[in-house]
Amino acid sequence: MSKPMKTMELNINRTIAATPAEVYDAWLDPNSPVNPFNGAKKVVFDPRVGALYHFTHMQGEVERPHYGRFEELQRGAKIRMTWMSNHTRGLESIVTVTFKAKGEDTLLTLKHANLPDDDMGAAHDEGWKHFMGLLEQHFATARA
Amino acid sequence: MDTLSSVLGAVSHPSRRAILDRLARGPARVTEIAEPFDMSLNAVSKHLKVLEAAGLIRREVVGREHVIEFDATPLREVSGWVHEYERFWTKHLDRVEKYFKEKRKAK
Repeated sequence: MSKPMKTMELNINRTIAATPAEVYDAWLDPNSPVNPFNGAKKVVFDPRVGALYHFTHMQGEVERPHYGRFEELQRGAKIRMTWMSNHTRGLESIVTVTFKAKGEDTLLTLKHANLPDDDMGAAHDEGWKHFMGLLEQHFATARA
Repeated sequence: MDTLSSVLGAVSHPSRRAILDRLARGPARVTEIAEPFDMSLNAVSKHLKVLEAAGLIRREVVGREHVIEFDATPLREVSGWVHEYERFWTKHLDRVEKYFKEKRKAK
């Protein structure tokens, strides 16, 4: 029997200038730029517990198909869905987004767990240029 | 301090990023680095010390001159640390943040 794959998780937090319900609704609206699949090449999106989604994300010239199931949908509070792509190597990774009121804003936390911890997902080939691009973007956003 | 924090700290200053851009084209003497900037040699030296502490540059002493060379190793470590999906979600959440910020401003 092969050993279970070593996995990792990503955690990202943001404060968003809207109420939890507004952010939640926009996140699940396929026509909103807040929807993570908005602008993807092909999208099937049926946000009901147990239902499926599919989208194709372009990585340069290469199409990256993604599939998953919606596991939990609590309006204004939580979205949990499974997430499979070539980067997950057959594992069902899990994306959990939570929304919490923080004054007039929303504290959004995104956890992407059960990702294989290997070279597959890590960006090794980009180097300096990519890093500088990322920083430029970061500072441009911070200033905006 | 870990590599990520010291690298991010070092490149958080626009002058230090400009210095690295210059050095990415090839090694240079301190005076050559300072030339295009409206900065004293002393200020440039301070920036170089921060970059050196982060391991982003190496200094070679040739006679009385210090020749500075760019070292991309810590950047590779840092960019290797950036997971494909970290990039994907960071980009997406930047978009979400901006969208609602502009929406609120327009109210």
